[in-house]
Amino acid sequence: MTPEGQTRRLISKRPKPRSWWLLNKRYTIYMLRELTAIPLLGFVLLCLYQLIKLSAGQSSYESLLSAMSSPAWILINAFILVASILHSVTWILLMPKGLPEFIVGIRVPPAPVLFGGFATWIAVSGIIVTICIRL
Amino acid sequence: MLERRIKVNVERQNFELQEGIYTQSYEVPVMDGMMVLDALNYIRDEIDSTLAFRWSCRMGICGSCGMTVDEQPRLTCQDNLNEYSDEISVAPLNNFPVIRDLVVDIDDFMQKKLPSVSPWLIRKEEAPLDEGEYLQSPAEMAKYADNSACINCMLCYSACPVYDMEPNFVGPAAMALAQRYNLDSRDQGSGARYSVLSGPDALWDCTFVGECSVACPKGVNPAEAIQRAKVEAAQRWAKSIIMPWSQK
Amino acid sequence: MTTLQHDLVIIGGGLAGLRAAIEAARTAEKAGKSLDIAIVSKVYPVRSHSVSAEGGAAAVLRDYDTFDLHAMDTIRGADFLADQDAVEILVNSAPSEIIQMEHWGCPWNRDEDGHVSVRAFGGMSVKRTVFASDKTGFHMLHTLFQTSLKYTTITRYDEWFVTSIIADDKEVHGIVGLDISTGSFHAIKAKAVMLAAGGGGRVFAFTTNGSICTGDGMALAYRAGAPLKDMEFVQFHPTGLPNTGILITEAARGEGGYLINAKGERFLEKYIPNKMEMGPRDIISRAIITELEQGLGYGESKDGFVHLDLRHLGEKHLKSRLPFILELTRTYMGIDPVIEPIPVRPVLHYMMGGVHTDNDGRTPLKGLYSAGENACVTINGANRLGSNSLTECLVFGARAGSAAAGYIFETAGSDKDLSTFAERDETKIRTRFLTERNRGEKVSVIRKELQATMEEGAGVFRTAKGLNGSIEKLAELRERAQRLQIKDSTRTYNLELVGALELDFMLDVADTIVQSAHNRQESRGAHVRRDFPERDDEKWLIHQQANMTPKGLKIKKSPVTITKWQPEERKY
Repeated sequence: MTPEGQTRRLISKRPKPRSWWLLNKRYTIYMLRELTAIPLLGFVLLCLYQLIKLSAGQSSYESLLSAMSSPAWILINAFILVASILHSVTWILLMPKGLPEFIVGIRVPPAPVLFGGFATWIAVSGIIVTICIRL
Repeated sequence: MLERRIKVNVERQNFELQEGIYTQSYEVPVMDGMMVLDALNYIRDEIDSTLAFRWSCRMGICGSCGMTVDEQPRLTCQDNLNEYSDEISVAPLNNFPVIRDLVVDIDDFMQKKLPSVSPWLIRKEEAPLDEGEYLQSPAEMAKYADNSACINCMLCYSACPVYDMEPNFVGPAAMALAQRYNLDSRDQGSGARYSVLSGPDALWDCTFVGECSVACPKGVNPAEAIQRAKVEAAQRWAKSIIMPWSQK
Repeated sequence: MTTLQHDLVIIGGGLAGLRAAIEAARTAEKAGKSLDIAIVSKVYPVRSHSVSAEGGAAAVLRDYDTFDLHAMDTIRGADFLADQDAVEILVNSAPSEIIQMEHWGCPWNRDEDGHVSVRAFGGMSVKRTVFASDKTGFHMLHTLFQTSLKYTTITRYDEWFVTSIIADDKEVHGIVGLDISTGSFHAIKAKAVMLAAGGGGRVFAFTTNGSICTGDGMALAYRAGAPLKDMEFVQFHPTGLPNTGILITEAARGEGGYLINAKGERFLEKYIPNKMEMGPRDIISRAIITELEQGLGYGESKDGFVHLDLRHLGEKHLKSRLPFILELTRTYMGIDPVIEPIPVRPVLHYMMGGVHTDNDGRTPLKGLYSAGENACVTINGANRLGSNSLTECLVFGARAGSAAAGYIFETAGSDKDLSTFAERDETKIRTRFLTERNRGEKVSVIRKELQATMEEGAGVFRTAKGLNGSIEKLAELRERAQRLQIKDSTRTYNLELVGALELDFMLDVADTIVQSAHNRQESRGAHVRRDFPERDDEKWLIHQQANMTPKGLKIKKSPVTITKWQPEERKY
């Protein structure tokens, strides 16, 4: 501690380059994952808009659907899909760092955690896709 | 055998002499097994006595000598020069105010953040000493052993982008140490700690970068400690909604 | 400049200092009185060298063990130079201190039944050393540091270097400290001051001690007029890593490791067959040096080594009991003890001597207290047993803390005005070191010559000739150190200046070691004179107290307290 009236003259923190997140690949992946929040938010808004159109009646919903079958919209949706896959995969890859021990009470090595994470993710996605196709 | 010589580029500053950062380069002869800290000590003893950096135990346990080496947070006394090229950069830890040269100000952690999480064993009642120790099995001890290995070297804060953006963020080491006590079978004070951890600038500011656990030189896993605490905090919150009477 | 003020100022934030601070705070709490405590440390407390202690802390906790047995082991280990009343206090208080640490959260290793585990240690006749893995000091220090955070009456001055103790013939008034981060000097007024600043192993070149162990607390007391006792007794730990001096814990032998010479023999058979690797440190260190001198070690005798073989213990056992040793040997030697023996040689480890205190940490100077390695109670006598020092920090740290609190409650405190003292120290130091700073030699040059002459004259085996050489060399170095070349004249975090102040302290401490050693014409414990190879109880069953006088160092002799155990031949 420094007595009152004797404040330390501190130089500010070491400046970080704007490209600090390119310094190692884990930071880069982290920033990309954070960035996927934007396309994912877009997707949510799109879904909401679809709901609004749906509630406005069949014709308005169908006009939206036909608009969305344009190549530009398909590209946008493909981009969102890639972003959500990136988000999920990088998040699951972090799971061994955050998860071991707290389910079964013993330390679980990374491999089973990763396997469990991916398996759950694929299974849940599979169920949703199946339901969508059936409908 | 030809002596290996490396170039050490040290990022320096001393506001009394000049404003701003400057880099000074030193040539250091290197023997097999030398650490980055040994190179700095060679510089201070033989070339430039004005270079300021902290060190003490030189065996990876006192936590003094954390620095940024080739842009990575490292504990320099256990950072072997064999793993580097013939030119390295040494800078102060990121995310902390610099006092001078390689010395950063960590009072924020030592005087504020660490005490804020009550890192001591809390009992409702202290048992008298002549009743002996509180029993604890090796398995119960293993639950918090990793988190108790923190040497407060501050590498995790230096690696944490959240701490960089949110200086009030309680941060990885302090939260791992809070968990060290929360997970201790002898402790009865997790309620008080969770009220801090669930509050502002703590658990929920962590965006799970995971870099704290990569940076830790002692095998502590703050990322895990924080994610576990998030689950526990969420459960406690849910319980307080469903069963408000359970909260005392 | 305003003078800062506290009731109790503790210099040093390691085990002894923190334990004392907590005990002082608790004593005040219990008495319903206010007590304002400050810890002044040149490093953040968790950096203190207590952090490097590995093996464990001794206490009688098992049914098969007795206080008398622990006391007898300690006294025999000390070659009968320990004060036996102090030893009795140590062994009697040790169990409750260990339990207290447990109640504060210290992660002592446990047996399956949930009780604290014990392991074997050198010179201890039964298993009585409790431990926290092989990072015992680290865990104890962090436990105490974190516990200290809950006491709001404890204020910390981290990274403050104490330049002097303010005292007159009668009593202590406070200290002057240099805030390293700003370069400013401040006086802190106090009713009592406690020195718990550790030892000064860095006066030797090859040491387990960290860079901060420069004997500051000892030199501060010495200059303030308190005597330094038993300074000739410095401990060489048998097993340090060559080159770096990094400590390989005695617990490695306690867990069953062997010492092996270059012929593949467990050579301790020749020296201490009944104890072998579990002998006391002084005897084993001498055995290793003797082997090296006879050409039975590896490498050159001067920096040769023998092997510490842990291979037969198996990977599982090593990982669970000695994980830090695996880490250290891999990191610093590139060696895996699971499949290779570890090269080791004796290395300066600990100073049995220190500031003379009574059993409550009081020094002869009123209001000045001391505990831990800084002090000399004395329980360690001529040779400390491994795992007694951590216990000593707890037991005598707590006693000194509570005694200091009691003293403060009884004393009004002086009305001495300390406002000029900070300026006095600042002017003196800046004039000496920073005004004519380019005339002399570098701090590192003098420091290295000091360390070399201590290795030369005051090592494991000593002679009058060698010690004389060191005494003369030290006088020469002191002269040369009057003019140092200090390039850095800035105030902010000027570690070159701090290094010069430390060097100045080291010169004092080194001087008391060699002069006391030269004076003691016998061999006892860790002090072995080739010219006086026998123990001489008739003349030398006494302590030596080194006093600083205007005419230089003067040694005063004082008796050893014997209670139950009459001195006899030290046999194992």
